[in-house]
Amino acid sequence: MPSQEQTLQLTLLDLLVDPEAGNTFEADPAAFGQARGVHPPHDAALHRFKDRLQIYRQATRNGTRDLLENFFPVTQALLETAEAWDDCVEDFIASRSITTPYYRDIIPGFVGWLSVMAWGQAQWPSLLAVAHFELLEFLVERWPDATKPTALKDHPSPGDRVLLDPATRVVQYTYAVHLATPDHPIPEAKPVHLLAYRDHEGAFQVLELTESTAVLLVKGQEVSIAEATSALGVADLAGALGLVQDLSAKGVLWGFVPSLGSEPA
Amino acid sequence: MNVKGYSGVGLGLRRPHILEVAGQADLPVPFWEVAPENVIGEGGRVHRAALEVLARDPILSHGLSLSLGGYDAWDQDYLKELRQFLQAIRTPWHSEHLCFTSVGGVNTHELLPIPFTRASVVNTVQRVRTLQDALPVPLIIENITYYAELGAADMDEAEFISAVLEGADCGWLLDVSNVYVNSLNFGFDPRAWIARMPLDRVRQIHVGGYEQLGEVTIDTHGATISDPVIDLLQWTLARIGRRVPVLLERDHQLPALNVLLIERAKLQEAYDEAFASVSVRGAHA
Repeated sequence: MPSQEQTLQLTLLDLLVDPEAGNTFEADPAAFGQARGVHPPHDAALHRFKDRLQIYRQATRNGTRDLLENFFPVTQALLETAEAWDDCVEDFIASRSITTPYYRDIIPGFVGWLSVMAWGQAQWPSLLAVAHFELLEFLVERWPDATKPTALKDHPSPGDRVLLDPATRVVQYTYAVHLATPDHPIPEAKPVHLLAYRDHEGAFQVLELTESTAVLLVKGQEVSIAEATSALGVADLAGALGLVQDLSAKGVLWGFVPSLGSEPA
Repeated sequence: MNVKGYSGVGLGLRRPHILEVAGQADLPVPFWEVAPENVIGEGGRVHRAALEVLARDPILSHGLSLSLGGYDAWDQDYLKELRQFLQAIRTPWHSEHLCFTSVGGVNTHELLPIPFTRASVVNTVQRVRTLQDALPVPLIIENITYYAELGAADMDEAEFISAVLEGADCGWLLDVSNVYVNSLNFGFDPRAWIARMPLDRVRQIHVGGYEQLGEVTIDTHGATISDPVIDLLQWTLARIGRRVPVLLERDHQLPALNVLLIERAKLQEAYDEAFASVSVRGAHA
């Protein structure tokens, strides 16, 4: 049995997050509390501060909405109307899925919630892809740094494997999400392979890849560049080596893992 | 006074300023305050610059997520990260808000008012003591701005805070602006309020800006420090009689760093003036 203090805190949570709670509380704060186990004299106190307690409800909405609008401007625009966006934010808050102590982790949490709930997917089929791409920028820019392994090569040989920078992501979407903007938020429906990475200034960059290059970068982490190139049916090994060298110079790669027996460059 | 250390008027280390701060070791800021939640688990260029500042300058740690007055179980992963962070930055203490943020497993990311009851005091004291044992540096607690009492109170806010400070035997981060904002919203004399309090427990002070929303004054940290708050700060510092560090809080409508430095300098003058006619002891004894 929770204490009255704990019950009061849970009651305030309901007021903060439940979609209909604002109106229900406004109509009869004491009854709102009683329905949740708040006893006299605490129920009457809810009535005494009923307008002031609503400030917390509004602050919760404003804080979450501001954060999401800052990181998901294209997603917001895709929903077309302020009402639709408000509904989205409202449903996200009501899901009670914000459990992290890290404010920034609300950002991936939002995309996770969109994915799990398939929120708005029927009406806006590209919604999840657009939101995921906006999340990608956040993740790539802030991905935790790690210690670079020693004995990596700066220049590739056919027997080497590629080692991506930990922040680099090779991703595939069914929409050209990287071309969507707040003014043109609906992306063209076409498969795209994207390379997202941090440049030398630490800024987010994205490149559209051919399917072959995307596969080379993924497979080239597991097998040698020569094997990955061969498996793709690409005859131009020198071209593949030049490509990964260029990507390494951009900051996409940490470097090249030498094959056994070869010397670091 | 621009000596680096835990005295005078410091600033919060905010993301938009980090690269600039990292590039200037001689900025006239005695210390920086940082929220662990904004540093732990991050990476990238700005993060690396933040780590440079944390390694170079005196740092105070100010948390947002411990939910001192709540009932939810501790987030052990966060506590582990926090411990490591506090050890790494060599802060003399870690501060947290006297409020609850988590309830029913949900982190509201809002500073919510604890019911001012005897049972709340017992619960909060127990949680603060547990944290003091778990953290590598002393935990000090900050009075918040609140807009409503949650439930029927057994005591007023001043009695509640004093009871927690004494019960947990911990230091106090006195937010002078919060006292002032609460005095506007609840109609009391802020000097009389502060005069009732155990000022010997004050380790640090916060001041921040506020804005009017209808009939309520909101603690937004989005405006310059008002003259009444500066007056209250000076009066409080003179009464404390120690050069405790004062933090100028600015989180919203963040101006350029040089603008913030000008406001910091103005506050520093007020800080020094407050001690001009007072015999003072050191800040961080």
